[in-house]
Amino acid sequence: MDKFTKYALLIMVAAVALMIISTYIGVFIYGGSMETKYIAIIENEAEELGLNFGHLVELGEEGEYIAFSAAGAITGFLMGYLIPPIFETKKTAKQNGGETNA
Amino acid sequence: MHIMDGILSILWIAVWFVVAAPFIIVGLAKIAKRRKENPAYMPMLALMGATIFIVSVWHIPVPVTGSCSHPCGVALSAILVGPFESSVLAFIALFFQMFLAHGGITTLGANTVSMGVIGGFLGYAVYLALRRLHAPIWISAGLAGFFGDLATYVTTASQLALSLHPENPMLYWGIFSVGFLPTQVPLAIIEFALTAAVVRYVAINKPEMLGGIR
Repeated sequence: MDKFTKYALLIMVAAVALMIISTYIGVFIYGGSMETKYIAIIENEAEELGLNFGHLVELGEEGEYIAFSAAGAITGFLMGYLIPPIFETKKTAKQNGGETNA
Repeated sequence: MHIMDGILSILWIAVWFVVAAPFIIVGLAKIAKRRKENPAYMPMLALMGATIFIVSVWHIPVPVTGSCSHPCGVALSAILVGPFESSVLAFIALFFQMFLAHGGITTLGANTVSMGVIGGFLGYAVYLALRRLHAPIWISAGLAGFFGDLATYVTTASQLALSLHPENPMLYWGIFSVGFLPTQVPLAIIEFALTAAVVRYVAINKPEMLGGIR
């Protein structure tokens, strides 16, 4: 793993931690309801106009876990199959006579 | 940017798909060209797609208003991979978000226009203009993120106003925009910081990722 990738991953971890902490502060300290404001505005307006709105395609909580896990696994296999240099180590790159990304 | 199904009229559903289509087609052509030139471009593009997907679906609470909303991440993506390519990524991200009850299949065109096209292109234009004026890279990128975020929601307001209140769209555009702003401005400031930090970091460590515009 080169320096750039290492720091990028560390920054991503820090950013995720910051976002999770800010969520807890917003909900438990300031009493936020986690209502998505612009969605609430759209829904209120649609209800006032009597529109029949919603989501034509929705997986539901359980479906989301299953579908996105499957999608992640399939994408991982496809990426590994189509772009093998991504996962090359110094050792395998040497065997293949190419350069490594690792 | 996540207008759900059943909100827009059929006319406006069609209009926004037609508006989004050329940006997606040009974006796909550009991706195909850059992929041939540099195979390592695809993993970076995939990473940016994942970034847009996560950033634009994340509920970030705004403690003062007691509500939450999403940043967009499209200005950052437009700076790093190009605005047309970023439109394609936004389209893909919005397609998958549809399964998470964010947005809708009939409103995919409208949502792509507000987030991928207007947010991405305006952010990119701000970045480009400020870099030409020799503004520091973090200010250029930060303001791109800030205005890219706000432009997305202002466009959503106009899409709602045009479809729901065609008799007086300007008045309702103002009403929707004012309703969005108290939650969206703090998030635009967060997006300023995120975009500024990432682009500055890339400019220092991987300047070749920014192409000719550093």
